[in-house]
Amino acid sequence: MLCSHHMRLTVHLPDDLARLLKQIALNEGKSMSALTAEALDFYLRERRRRALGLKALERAGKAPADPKALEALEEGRRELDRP
Amino acid sequence: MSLTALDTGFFVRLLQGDGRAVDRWRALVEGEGEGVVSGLSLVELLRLSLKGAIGREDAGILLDAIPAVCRVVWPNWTVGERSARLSHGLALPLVDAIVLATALEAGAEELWTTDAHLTAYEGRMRVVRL
Repeated sequence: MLCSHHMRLTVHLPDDLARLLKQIALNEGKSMSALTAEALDFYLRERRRRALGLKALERAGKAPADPKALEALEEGRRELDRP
Repeated sequence: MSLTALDTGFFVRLLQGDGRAVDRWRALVEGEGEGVVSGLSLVELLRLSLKGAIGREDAGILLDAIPAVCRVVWPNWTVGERSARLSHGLALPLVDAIVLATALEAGAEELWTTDAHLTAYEGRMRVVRL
């Protein structure tokens, strides 16, 4: 979700990328600013998603999980159903 | 794009290094399919860490990673009503039924779980028991 407040940011783009941005913005009826913000939002979220996902993956098999962790999970679920 | 529901036990298995859980998680991180997780799983993982069953730091990593990689769905009335019916019909504990109802409402094709009770479900969604 994009913030409703806007900050002016000057960036330098390679000519080819700038042409592509302009072309897609025209085709989709969006401003170049809006399309840039949309692309950046998607990219940054994807980057964060991947970084956090890989961090969890790095802990696989190395985390000191109690062998009885699944029993504790099961027990927790049963507790809620006891009369 | 395929949608996979992940139950709490999946993440315990992931931390334990279970090969199938690791491969499934890696695929989701790489953008192969989409994951959906009940908000109650986040609560259960936090509770397991408070009990010392999983490390607090590892729980923190999971609690950051899960909402970033998967869609987290908190129970609403639609899920609640379906959970009550599933719990009654399949004699499931309520949390199991909420996890199942969340997966079904989201339209998941598979539910990955460690919970034996959830294998009682037979329908269009496949239950994968780790």
